[in-house]
Amino acid sequence: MPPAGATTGATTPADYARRHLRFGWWSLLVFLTLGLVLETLHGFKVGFYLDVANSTRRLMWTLAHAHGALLGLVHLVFGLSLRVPGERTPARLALLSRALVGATVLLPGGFFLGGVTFYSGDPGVGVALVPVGAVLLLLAVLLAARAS
Amino acid sequence: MRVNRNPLRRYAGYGDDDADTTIVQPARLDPARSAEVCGQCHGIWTFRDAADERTANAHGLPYRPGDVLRETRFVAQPKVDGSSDQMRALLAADPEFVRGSFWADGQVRVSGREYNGLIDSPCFADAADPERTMTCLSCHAMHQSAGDPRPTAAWADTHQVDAGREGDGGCAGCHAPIAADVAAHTKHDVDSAGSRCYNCHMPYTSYGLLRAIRSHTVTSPSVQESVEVGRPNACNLCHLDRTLAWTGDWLRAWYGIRPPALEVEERAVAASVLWVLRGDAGLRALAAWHMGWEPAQEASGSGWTVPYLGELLGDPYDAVRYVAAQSLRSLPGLGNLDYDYVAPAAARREAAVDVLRAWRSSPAATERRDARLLYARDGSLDTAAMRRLFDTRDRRPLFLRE
Repeated sequence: MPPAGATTGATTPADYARRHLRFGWWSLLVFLTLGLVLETLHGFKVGFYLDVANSTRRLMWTLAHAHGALLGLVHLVFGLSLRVPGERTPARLALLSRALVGATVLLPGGFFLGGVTFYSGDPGVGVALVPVGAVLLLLAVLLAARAS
Repeated sequence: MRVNRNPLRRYAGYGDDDADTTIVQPARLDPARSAEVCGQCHGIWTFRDAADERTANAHGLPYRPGDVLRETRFVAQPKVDGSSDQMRALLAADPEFVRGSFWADGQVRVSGREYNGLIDSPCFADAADPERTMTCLSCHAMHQSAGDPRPTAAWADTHQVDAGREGDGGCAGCHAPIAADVAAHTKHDVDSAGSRCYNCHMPYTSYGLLRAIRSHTVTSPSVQESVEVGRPNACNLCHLDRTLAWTGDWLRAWYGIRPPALEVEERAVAASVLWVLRGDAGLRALAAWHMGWEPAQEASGSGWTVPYLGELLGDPYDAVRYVAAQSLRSLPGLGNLDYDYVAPAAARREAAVDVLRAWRSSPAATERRDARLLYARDGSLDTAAMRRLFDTRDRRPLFLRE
């Protein structure tokens, strides 16, 4: 049986720290870029984003930007916190890491997809990824709290 | 609404093409219920009694689309219920209730109340076939149709008339025999404003929003309505320079409509001149607006209207002054007319004098030496006749409840 975390190549807290610092910075880059794009849409008053009929898209993409950027910061904090000794088993650390990565993909990704196509006041079906991501985030926070 | 709080139900609905039966779509209702959806706002109504009003204030209006509107409120329809207890009670509390909204025959005369016009129309009231019953949706669309090639702003500027319903499209669906040979019915050139259904059967006899608005009571023009009711008839709203007698003669010749007895002035003076000089404030506003209406200017000329519009620049009603100024601005050389309809009276008078002075020195001043327009043969205005008519003006205060 392979050691916990073997599938991701991370085995030690230092490996996880590097992984999450890298993931966090890249997440920030992606979602801050998204924020810049949204600001540009505001600047040029693009109807595709700003028209009243497209308010659902505007809300979803704003949420994608906000959640993605904040989760990027969570990765950075988590990566840094791994330098502090704690009660972490390899299995729980692997689960926590996967849950946090999954949340960072599914939460903003679900919001973004929910705004690509939508039904009047309801987001598109992509928004179904959001509750899954939210559960993974809660799980990650719970595991992090217990390991601290 | 309650049932659609369930997201699973909503998303299941998005997946199929069937209409959501929990949401009222006026186009799927029968004509009466459909029109009432619009009529809940675009109608003249009042609470049936004080208890209803208290309930509405506490819990909101009870009407919901699809309900029978009259079961929740009193819809004023003087043509039908002018002597009802409810109407008598209303008039006792507010003697101007009818006059402020309706012509003397009960036809609505203010904008935003088109439902009251519709329910008095034969195309609605006398229709037996739901497929051939006029409703709001016979002409208007609340959401621009997918196939409408017009920009959204252009569609909105037509008061949301649906694609294909402008021109004669709204009527032609039911009145196919007339549509097949329009000129035979209208006696006007087929491409002229006189051959457009709306212009004769839904003329601009309602007032609101500082302009004339089309009547939504479908009627046929008659001199009688102008003489007995005081409402301008469609013919003279285009042929501003013609008398009621002239209109009566043509309606008799073309349609066999017997004209009513006319006073001397009604036989001798153009109808629009009478409306400007003698009419109440609402009538003056309508006449002034039509003097700036392009089809009327084409049919009647426009240079001769300047002194009448100039006279209305001094009207006691702000709205009449505004409309008159707008019509003046539609005339050649007056596009930049500097006139503030709410300026002090002295400033308004000065602006009116300037307009008339400029007009007197222009060729337009003498282009019509027509006694019907109160112009003498030398081109001068018959101010004595104007004064006589002005002295008989309907000066009763008028508050139109648009």
